[in-house]
Amino acid sequence: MLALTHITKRYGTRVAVDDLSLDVRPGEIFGLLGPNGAGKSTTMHVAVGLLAPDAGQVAIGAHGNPTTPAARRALGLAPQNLAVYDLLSAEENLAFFAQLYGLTGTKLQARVDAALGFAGLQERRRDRVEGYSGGMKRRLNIAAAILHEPELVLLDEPTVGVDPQSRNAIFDSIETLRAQGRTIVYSTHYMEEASRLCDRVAIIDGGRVLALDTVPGLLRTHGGVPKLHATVGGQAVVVETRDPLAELNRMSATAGIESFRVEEPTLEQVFLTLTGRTLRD
Amino acid sequence: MSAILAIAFKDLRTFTRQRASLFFTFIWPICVAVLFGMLFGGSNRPTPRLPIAVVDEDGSAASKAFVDRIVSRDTFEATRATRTEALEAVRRGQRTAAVILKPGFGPASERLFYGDPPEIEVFTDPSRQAERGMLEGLLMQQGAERMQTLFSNPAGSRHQVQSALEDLKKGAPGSSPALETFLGQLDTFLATPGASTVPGAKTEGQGDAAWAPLRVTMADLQRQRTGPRNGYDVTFPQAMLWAVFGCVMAFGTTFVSERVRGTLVRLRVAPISRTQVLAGKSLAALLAIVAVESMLLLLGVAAFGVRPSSWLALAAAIGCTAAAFVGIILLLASLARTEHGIGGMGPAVMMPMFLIGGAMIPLMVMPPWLVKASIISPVRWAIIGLEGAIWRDFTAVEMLLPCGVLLAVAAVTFGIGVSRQQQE
Repeated sequence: MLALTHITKRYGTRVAVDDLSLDVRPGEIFGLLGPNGAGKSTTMHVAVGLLAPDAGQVAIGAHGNPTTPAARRALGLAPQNLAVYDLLSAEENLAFFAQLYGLTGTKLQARVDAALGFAGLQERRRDRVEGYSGGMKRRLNIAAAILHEPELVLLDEPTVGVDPQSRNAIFDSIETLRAQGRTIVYSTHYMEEASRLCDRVAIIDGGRVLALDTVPGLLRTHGGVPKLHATVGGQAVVVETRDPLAELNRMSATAGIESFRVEEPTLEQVFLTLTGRTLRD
Repeated sequence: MSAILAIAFKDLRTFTRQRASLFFTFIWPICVAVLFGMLFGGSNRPTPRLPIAVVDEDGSAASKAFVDRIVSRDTFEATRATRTEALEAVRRGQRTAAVILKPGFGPASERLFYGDPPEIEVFTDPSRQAERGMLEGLLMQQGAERMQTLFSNPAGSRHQVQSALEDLKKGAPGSSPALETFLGQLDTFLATPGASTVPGAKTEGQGDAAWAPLRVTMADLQRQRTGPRNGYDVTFPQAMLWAVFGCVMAFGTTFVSERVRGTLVRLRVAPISRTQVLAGKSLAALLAIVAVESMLLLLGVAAFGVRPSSWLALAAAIGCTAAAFVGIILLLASLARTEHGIGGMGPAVMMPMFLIGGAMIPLMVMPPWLVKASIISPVRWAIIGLEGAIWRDFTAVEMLLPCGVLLAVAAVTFGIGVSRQQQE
């Protein structure tokens, strides 16, 4: 659905994206996970044709070049900034963006109603956006991206600055999109979000893809061995093991186990393994 | 096209919802126009009285009485003058009309129902059609009031009836047996005690009464205006430019905020071209400028005595001004990186233009060196164009210069602005 092939993008002497290649499959949620400044937004902007790469190629499914009108109709972008008009209501915002995609009349109204329902903003549809909470604005920002029913939706850090309740609402709406068969590219620096939502994740740092796989695959390959934390005979013990149950049986044969917990590897550890830094460094 | 209109409509909608923008594009310019208009002397027609010059070329008692009545009426602001003085006053725009009572006015007033009626010649500027009609009506009204007075004053009118009967017996023009019979019976009626029954009618001397269906001859006299009619003629064009200033700041900011806030990203991802985006935003700015200029102008016309000498020229001046400043908006928006940037750059660029262009100090009172320097300011050409259509009485050829300069400014600034926006 989206193919980035050997993309390089520079800002002056700084390389923002360095020989990056991705192939996003139809119907999947594809995560771009990396810290701030890793090159996720630049990659997104190259993917939708906002930025021309210095090298490499972009193709939106069968439409090819993302700057063609057909390709633009096939994609929807929810930028990291809240790209909505504060002085307009949610309904006016959505109607305006729908007009840009050639929607008119009853079809426009139907799509606006659907998008408002998707964002859970029906009751506040006529209120100006300037009075919305951060979470409501974020939901409207996403609604504006899916208004014209694009095949490919790119969500650039869609949960930045929102409360947990709105974050869950956003997750639910993204899963709704997945159920509708849309292809989603989701950039985030929250490993929990990538773990929860994404079918595959590309870990990015310094404009390069460090690893790309399913979440279990990444954990298996780069997450290291699970750690068993136990208190045995008053002594705290930490053991790295791929079979914690067997290890607990072995421990109980020699002394009583007072407590234990198993620490599974996370994407945070994957990133640490790959870069030597944490995601929030 | 629908995308362009959608963008324009969206920008106009957000523009009307910004209270600060509305204040600076409408309320503030009105304050400028009214306050400075009052300081510059306000309207020279503070009341609806019609300023006229009255010339008595007859010098008879009847003509003097007629002139006295004109001068004493509330509807006229009348001054007595010679023919030369009166015509010059109309040419200079000091008087709306010259009303000339022609020789023979008195004898004609004495005649009843025969011969030539008393004649009045009226000279007005051809552009003052409304005042001309009003004046003719008021003069005829005065004639009708004389009719009422005549029939309510039997003593005075009997003399005229008897004088007319003597003229007819001598074979005066227009005589007929039927008229002679009618006047004889009228004389008998007026001699009847109690014939005066019209309440409130006052008794006047013989020379004060006049029966007259007036003959009013209207003539054109081209006004040679040398200055504005009143202070508002000067301050309203200035105010219109201040309104444009407000629009420049408001729409310049919307251009930049689209970029800063990220909505431009959404527009650029949509299946529309950059040209459509710029066209939509430019159309909104153009419509807003034309609208605020027009509203201010209409306010000036409706409430402050502003009287454009050419509506067509005024439309051209407003359109060219709007085009020039839309180009300037695009240029400023392409230079500023942030909303704060345009908030600083806009006034820094615009205020000198306004200072030397005549939006603060009227061009007509500027020192000559400043008038020369003002040619570099688009504001000057906008004000010249507006004033040319309002009180300078520019011909179509004279309007070409300010309009041409404004269109050239529009072409250059628009070209640079679009080019820079496209390169981003």
